[in-house]
Amino acid sequence: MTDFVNNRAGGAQVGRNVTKIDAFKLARGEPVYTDDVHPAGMLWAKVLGSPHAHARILDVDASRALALPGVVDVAWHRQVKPILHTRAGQSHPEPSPYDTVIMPDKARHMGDRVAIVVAETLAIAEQALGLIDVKYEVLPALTDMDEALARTDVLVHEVADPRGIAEGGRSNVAARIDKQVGDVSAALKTCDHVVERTYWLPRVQASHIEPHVAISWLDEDGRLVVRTSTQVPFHLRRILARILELKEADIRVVKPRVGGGFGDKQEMVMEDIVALMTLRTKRPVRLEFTRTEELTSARCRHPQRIVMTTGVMNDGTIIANRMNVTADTGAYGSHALTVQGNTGQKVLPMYPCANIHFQVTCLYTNNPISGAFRGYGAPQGCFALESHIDEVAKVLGMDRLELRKKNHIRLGDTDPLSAKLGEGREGLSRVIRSTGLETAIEMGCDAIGWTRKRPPSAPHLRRGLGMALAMQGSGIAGVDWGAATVKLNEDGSVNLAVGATDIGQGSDTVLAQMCAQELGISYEKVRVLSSDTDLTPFDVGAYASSTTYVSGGAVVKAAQQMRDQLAGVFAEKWACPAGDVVFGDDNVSCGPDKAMTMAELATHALYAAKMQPAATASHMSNESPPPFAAQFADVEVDPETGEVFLRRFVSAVDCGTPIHPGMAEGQIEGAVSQAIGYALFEEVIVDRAGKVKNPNFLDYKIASALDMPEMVTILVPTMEPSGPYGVKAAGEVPIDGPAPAIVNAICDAVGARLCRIPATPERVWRQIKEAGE
Amino acid sequence: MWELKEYRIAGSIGEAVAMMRRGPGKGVYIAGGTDLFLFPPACDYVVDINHVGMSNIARTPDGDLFIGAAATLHDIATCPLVTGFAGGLVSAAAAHCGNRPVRTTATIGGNLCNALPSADLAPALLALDAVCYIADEDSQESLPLEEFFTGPRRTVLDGRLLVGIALSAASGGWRAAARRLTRSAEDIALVQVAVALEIDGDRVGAARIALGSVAPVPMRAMLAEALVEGELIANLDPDRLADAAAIAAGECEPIDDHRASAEYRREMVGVLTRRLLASVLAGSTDTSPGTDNEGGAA
Repeated sequence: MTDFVNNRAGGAQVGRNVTKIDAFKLARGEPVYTDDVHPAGMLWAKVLGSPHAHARILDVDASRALALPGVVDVAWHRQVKPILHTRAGQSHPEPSPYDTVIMPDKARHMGDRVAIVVAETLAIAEQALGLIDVKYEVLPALTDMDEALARTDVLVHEVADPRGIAEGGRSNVAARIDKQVGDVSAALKTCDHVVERTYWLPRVQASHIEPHVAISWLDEDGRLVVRTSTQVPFHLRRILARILELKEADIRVVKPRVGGGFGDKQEMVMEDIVALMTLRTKRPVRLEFTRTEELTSARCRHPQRIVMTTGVMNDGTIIANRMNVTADTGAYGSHALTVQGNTGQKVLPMYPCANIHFQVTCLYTNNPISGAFRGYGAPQGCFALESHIDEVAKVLGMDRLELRKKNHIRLGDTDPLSAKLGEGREGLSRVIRSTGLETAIEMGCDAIGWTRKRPPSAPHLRRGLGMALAMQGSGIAGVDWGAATVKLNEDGSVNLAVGATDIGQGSDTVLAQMCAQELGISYEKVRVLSSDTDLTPFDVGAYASSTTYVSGGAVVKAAQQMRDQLAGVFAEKWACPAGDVVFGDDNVSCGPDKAMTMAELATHALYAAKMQPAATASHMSNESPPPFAAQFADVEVDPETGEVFLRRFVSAVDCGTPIHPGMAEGQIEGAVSQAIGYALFEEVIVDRAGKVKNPNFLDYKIASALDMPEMVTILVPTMEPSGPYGVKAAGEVPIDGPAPAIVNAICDAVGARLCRIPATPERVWRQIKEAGE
Repeated sequence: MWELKEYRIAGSIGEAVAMMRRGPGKGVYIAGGTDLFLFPPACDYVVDINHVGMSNIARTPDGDLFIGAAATLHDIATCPLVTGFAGGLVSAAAAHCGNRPVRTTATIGGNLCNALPSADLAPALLALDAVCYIADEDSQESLPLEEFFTGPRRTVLDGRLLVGIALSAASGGWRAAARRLTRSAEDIALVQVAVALEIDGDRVGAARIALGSVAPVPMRAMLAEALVEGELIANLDPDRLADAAAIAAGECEPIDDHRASAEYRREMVGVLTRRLLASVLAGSTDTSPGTDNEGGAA
């Protein structure tokens, strides 16, 4: 295992709240996003989505559409070579089933691709959709997980995955997991109490502000350029090359600024469409999803049903834990195995015990497609486990905080599941080498007033407090890696090129700080380029909370290598030992009388020594140290209407040593606001026919500023030895705990346990009525 | 995408109606346009009524409150003439509609003429006996707001123009409160109830209970009102209020949809009516419908 020497020489560039590197251009509304620049001669694409949840596409007659002036091309399955692949943007070989082709001959959900139109204007493209005549053979729609499991006469996917992951052709199971440590069934017989409950999690959508949008064209050398709002440019290039039968060398993927991704852009949602149509028409093609298409045809968080079975002794010692997950991957199996794997792997280790059993059955249905979404399975598992811990405490008659304190994972503990369960295969074992969980619990309790619950603000309200603990990872151990290139210019500035993708979370800023820290220069001297497959080195992309921890490691190594080169140049000029050269405050020196500015040294290197100081380094970690969160909710509930008023929300988070504390807090507060929607009102409602009933923001409610409680965010720094400057991840862990904390607080207020979210007023009202009966 | 053939800008009320009647094809009026752009109607032209002098809010010499149909929700939420009228009931309704950017553009006329069962201003206005002024090319008529709505998204207008709303000076002194129930803060109301009572010494004079989102049109619960109207306040004990609330719940005609069930909506009409009657009678002075603090006052 590689540990970083976590010292900070010179003026500190890390650990302070510098101005976000792209803040001004974003605030000024500069044309920085994919759709801000349209190449000349660009065509507008639209997707004809299936009106049926499950239907064979027998024939497509596009003659009427093609006759419409301005329509340039229509493509459908007979014209496109079917090469099986997954649209999940994961490292090769992907652990998701190869169950997808560019244009399917069978629609598997309402909105699935039937035909693509490109036209001279958007209006013409939209009009042309209505002129395409399609002959369908409508098939029974499987929209219920249990029905999908029970039936083998109707299969969402009839062809087996060529690599044998899915049970294609035999059942509707997209992924199964059955991993056990110890023997749960035997252990449960020895326990004083066995508590079993079932929890239900809804289908929700990431709702990034910038929708999916991609523009492609052929450059002057005939190479395909795809400018797209993505988290995974390098995975995209690899997948596109394979399914379009091009060489990677002939594809360039450019990621400009991105207006949010949250996992929904860790997926090739549309880049293959624009690329295909550019190759067919030789013209630039642009496609953007409407919000309705986002809610019907992008990706959702997997809906799950989780049965938790816990065996405990009278003193509160947890002896055995079983988590049984049934999940709905929808029409395709993007991230089916790995999201569900995370549901247990990132959650169950919170309470290590000798007997842990984790089971998953993930099903294909004719519902909208599930996929990656911030938290990646952990929010579902955390809701079940942290709700369940409160239920166990109630059965024991024990304080729920004490039960957690007695059992939670501690420094030096081995996470019992990680070795059994990696990214779709055997993983690496994980020992906790840094944790601020105890401190987080203590500080969080204090901030929420755990021992001095406030009275209700009005006589008709009831007040309650709830808490939840969460842990996640920092990248995928042994899988995620990234590279960085640094290059010095004669004015002492540095170009930093990274494959890591800034998607709004601020990684360009954090990586610039780390680069500046190593070189002893101020971060304003660093110019960051992210990401362009022609110009930046490889990185798996922004997902799995990996960028600061993994890509940051690459930046530190590259900067160190270039610093060593510069020390050599300096040592030669001044005839001093290279090992004594000191970098800091934009200066380089060796003792009091041998000194020059970084700009002088750079000029010397380029024009006298005639060498380009530059380095490329790669970094991968065999560890994925968990960040920890203790989160607390203070709610008031109106028992007559079921309304929940979230008054205060406290997050105390150990994300290692933050590089930019302000942005770490921003990650936490953003995650909490997304999770408030998950807890209280977000749900993509799909009817039995597979139709989304609320495909717009009028009815799919996400939290707005008006829904925000008083938010208290506490960073609990620790020094993680495997992370550069002691960092761990911050992006995902804070989205796990809010839903169970809020629901536990509702239960504390009114005595009704909601095993299903979102906790809408009507659901809370019904549960209160049921509890009272 | 909404592609219009023609955008007509009217300079006067009469011209607006004439432009609407002229054809060819179908036209719609546009003021703030916030609802029109959400659900663009199939039409050939729009008639812009932002420049016909309908955005005024005024007290008449007899003390009636007149609100022009093109007054924005933000103006209504903040204008002292409205905030000071019947405990600010209409202002509060406007203040809880949509969000600030929407309210600076959306108008009271648009809110009413769209005639959604959930129109945010309707219950408050119904509870204060609002009267609508409607213009034709060369004539005007007025009618009670209850008669304005004829069905979901349907009104009596038929090409005519809603000019404004008037509230009588008397209703300005009524005690009132309202409450809207939503899932998130910015949401279509699941249930709306507005209650206004004329307090005449130890007795209730006029009593109004208006409901939204629980019937094809915003409505009054007149049977429930009858149980309260003219009663001695001393007789309006919790049981009596509960009876009135139960009657109101029986009067509404809610539906099941993906936002809430009919059963829940009906129950909530009962809960909110009972609580609003009690708080208005108690003279609570807090007006913040849409939060947990119900109430209102005069």
